[in-house]
Amino acid sequence: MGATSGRRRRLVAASVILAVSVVAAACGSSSKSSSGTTVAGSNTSVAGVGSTAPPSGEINVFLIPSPSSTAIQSFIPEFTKQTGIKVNFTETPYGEAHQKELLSYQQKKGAYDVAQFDNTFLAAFGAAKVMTPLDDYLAKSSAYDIADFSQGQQDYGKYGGSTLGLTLSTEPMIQWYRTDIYDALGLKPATTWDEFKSNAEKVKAAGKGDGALIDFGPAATWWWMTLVWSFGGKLYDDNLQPTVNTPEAVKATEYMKSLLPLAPEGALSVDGDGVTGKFISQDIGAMIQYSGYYGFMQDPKTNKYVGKIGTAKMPMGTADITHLAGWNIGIPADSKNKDAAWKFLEFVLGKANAINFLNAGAAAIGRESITSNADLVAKEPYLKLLNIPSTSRIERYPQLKVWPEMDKAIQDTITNIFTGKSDVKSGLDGLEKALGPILAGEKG
Amino acid sequence: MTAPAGTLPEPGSAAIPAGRPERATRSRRPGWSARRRRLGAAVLTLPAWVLLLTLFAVPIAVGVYLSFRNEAIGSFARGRFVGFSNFRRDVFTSTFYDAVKTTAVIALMGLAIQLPAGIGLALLLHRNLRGTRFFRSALLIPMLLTPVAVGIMWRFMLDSDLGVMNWLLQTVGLGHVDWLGDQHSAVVAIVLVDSWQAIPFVMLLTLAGLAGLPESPMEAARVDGGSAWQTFWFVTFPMLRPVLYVILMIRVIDAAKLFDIIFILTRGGPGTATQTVGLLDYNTGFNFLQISRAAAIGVVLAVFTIPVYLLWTRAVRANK
Amino acid sequence: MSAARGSRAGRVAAYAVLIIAALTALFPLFWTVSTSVKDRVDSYANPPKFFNFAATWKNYRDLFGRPQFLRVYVNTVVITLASTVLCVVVGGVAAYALARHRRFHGRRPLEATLVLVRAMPGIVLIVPIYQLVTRFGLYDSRPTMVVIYATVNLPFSIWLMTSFLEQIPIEVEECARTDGAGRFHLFVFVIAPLALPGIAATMIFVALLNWNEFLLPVILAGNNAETLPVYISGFISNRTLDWGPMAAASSLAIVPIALLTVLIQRQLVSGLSSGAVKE
Repeated sequence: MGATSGRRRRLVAASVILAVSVVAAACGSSSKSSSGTTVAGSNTSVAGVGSTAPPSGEINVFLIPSPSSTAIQSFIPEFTKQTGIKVNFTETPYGEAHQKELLSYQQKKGAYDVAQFDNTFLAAFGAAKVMTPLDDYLAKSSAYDIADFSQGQQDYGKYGGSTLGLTLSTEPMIQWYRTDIYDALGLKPATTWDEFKSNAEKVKAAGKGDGALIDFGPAATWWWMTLVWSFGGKLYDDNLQPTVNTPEAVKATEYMKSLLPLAPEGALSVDGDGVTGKFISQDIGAMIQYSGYYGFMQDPKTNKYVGKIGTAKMPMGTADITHLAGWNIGIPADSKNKDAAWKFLEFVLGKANAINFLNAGAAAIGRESITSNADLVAKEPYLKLLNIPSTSRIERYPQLKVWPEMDKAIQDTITNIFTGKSDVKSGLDGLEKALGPILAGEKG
Repeated sequence: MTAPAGTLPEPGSAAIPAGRPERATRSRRPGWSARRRRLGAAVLTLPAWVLLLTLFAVPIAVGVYLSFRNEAIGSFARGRFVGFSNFRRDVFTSTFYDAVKTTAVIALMGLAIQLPAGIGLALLLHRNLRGTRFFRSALLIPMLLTPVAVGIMWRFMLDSDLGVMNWLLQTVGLGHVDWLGDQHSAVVAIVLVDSWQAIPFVMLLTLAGLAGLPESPMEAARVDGGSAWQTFWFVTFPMLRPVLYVILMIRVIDAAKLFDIIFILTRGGPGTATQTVGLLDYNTGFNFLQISRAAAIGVVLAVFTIPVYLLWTRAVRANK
Repeated sequence: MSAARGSRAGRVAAYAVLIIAALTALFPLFWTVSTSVKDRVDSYANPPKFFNFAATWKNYRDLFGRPQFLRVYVNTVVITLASTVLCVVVGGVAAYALARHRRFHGRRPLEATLVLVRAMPGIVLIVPIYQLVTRFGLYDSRPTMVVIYATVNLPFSIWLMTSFLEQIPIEVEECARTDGAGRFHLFVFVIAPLALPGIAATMIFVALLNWNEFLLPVILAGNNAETLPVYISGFISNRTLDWGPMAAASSLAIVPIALLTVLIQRQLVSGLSSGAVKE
């Protein structure tokens, strides 16, 4: 009995400690949590006092973690100081972000006034009419200056003829290579896929590291479809019938599979970010990756090979295509403070702050004033790659609302192909069949 | 939802001695009629019923309703009744069967590792060697850690090029495993990480079971010259059976519910190699945004739990 | 005691197994904490650096520098606390009925429902709950999360407390009653204090389960109600480039639990499983 009561006493003590710490934290929070979302603006006590001119008030910004998001956040204090508009923001991981956005718009409570989204979801958002067309704002805004973008880039945020999102980043897939390895072996960045592969073979044969890396893991679809386009194929035709077992697609898939032995051994489990992560942590001759990762390459804290990484246009197959990706940012239709929201977008993404925005670590935006700025390009040569020549056909993520499911179906198929569970042709035949009903859902 | 800290069996089940409650119910209580007491008891369970009805019964009903419609997240069109088409499309398919198989494989492999390891460690600790308290603390630590964080740290350790696991394997000359990239090793990786958390739980309940056993039969066996193994197999093990049954039940349930660790480690990949039914359901509902199709998978999953429930209640009755 | 028995070789083997097992159990924890105080270059070093690195607080500074993180941590604490209290109060009252009354209306269905709730995979419930919650405008609200967390862990809490309450001798209650104590008094002043250790143990376990919950908040929480496991999982999809802050966030989730586990390990053995085997 004595032992038991001792035990009890200790247990009570433990629970009291737990309870006290929890209660203390809860009390501390109650004052904070009511203003929980008012994060950024709170440090400026001047906010809202100085300015009387509309628009004013408070806006909520929905962000998705990325260099662009980080850069946007760094502009908030200055914006609040200048306009008196208080800015709250939240970051939601990519995997859940778009579902949460759609949901929030469906609730029509005006939870967000500015929202970042992946271009992949432009169609879904457009079809659901959840974003505000920005064309009127754009027409009137010299501060934003839409004419600073080439026509192709102006169209990047358009759905059904109206602009639903500004370009938050311009990220073509480009070729990255290790200048030290390439120089040592006398290699040049590849212009064709055959060259790309033979470079990789040489790097590997010379024992300089792994040959090349693209994604074979959870994001492999993005690289696969790029290769399909580049080899002259497409994913589906104008009638939304899948075209993924054509000779072009088979060739592209075979090519992709042939790169696998040249990649680091864990390549099958590496995701999109992980491709860059590996490239800046271990010896790999080259990678194909979106240009938006450039920021990581310059930081010695993250990159083991600062100053040894070169960039070049993505190699070509039978077609000259540019896989263009990048974030959009816009104003949800249910926003209750659209003018203030626009003001914020204009401030952060306008022409005046364009260089500051880039210097804040954001993935570059393909404004001509940036991509043709000689000083900037001298410092960061990759910027000229964002000037996509009109000879190169721009391809984007399929603008389909069923894309997530289609992406997964492709992903599952090509994984089976890479791991040898099925061969290329029969795998793609199976995919062709599987995509039928999925694409049919697009019409319904 | 792995709930590593297991759960107790229902009151009155195998493991709970019925002595005290028996007395409790028979005792006479002056002033309160049996009927009033019973009514009072029912009233005490009302708050629990309110929660269980709103957040268990109602959702199940709504799930069944949804599964016959074509609702989608973010779709602004009104859903309509579509009969069994969700079931045809998402349940009676090879994708679904594969997911069932994956779930079963992960559960069975897990049991094959966790039960022997957990029981073995419990037997060692039960010998009360010097330092047992330290070892017991150390070995229990993984049990209650946040599965998401556990998944993250293991994912880092299992990285095929830079992870510490492969470094270790290579150092001892065992080569190099692409833990999360290969279809088979990804399953193994998930089973290992799940086991890392579950073995302490098995060990804990076994220890408690051992503590409750009388010493004399074991002594007798030893006096009769039985080896340690014989003593365990013919004396200890049969006496432990009720506790082991409970452990087995809980582990089967939790293995079928395993979600967090898979979500973090592989998200069901590579390809569909580790896509359990739970992951498949999640993907359908919250990646493809097809909430009605997800509900259909959920309905089937719910039906799967009925056998578990029957086994459980049978165990309770059998041991009464 | 059986302890003294066994050959020397047997003891050596036993220690060898225990030491290996303990290392396996503890190493990931050590690795997380050590990664959390490394620069990226050190955490990605090959061969790995176990001790030979310069520790840095940068990852923690980075983490706490993110306004969202503090809010998430506070959210997690608040939701954990509130749902634990709700779960233990509702569960405790029901457990009392189950422990003291063999037969009453709804006992069987209650027992059955509890087993089903415990056995049902969370995703089955979360899909319709998601639909309901969004329909009624209860999405991303902390009270919603509190109530759902409490329900999910209700079986565990009821079973645990039932077993504790059954250990309180009925005579105590009878004594109090003959002294004229009312029902409320009986409950608050007689039973509750006696049951306190059991209630405390239940609270701790339920709190840990709530603290760890992932599937519910990842689906039902937006910005306001986000919790730590969801926040940590966000690193995987976005910031695989730097394990430092990720390890720091993970450390902040699990180190308190590890300490608590050590602190209450005696109760883990005797308390948690008392219902399973005691006496």
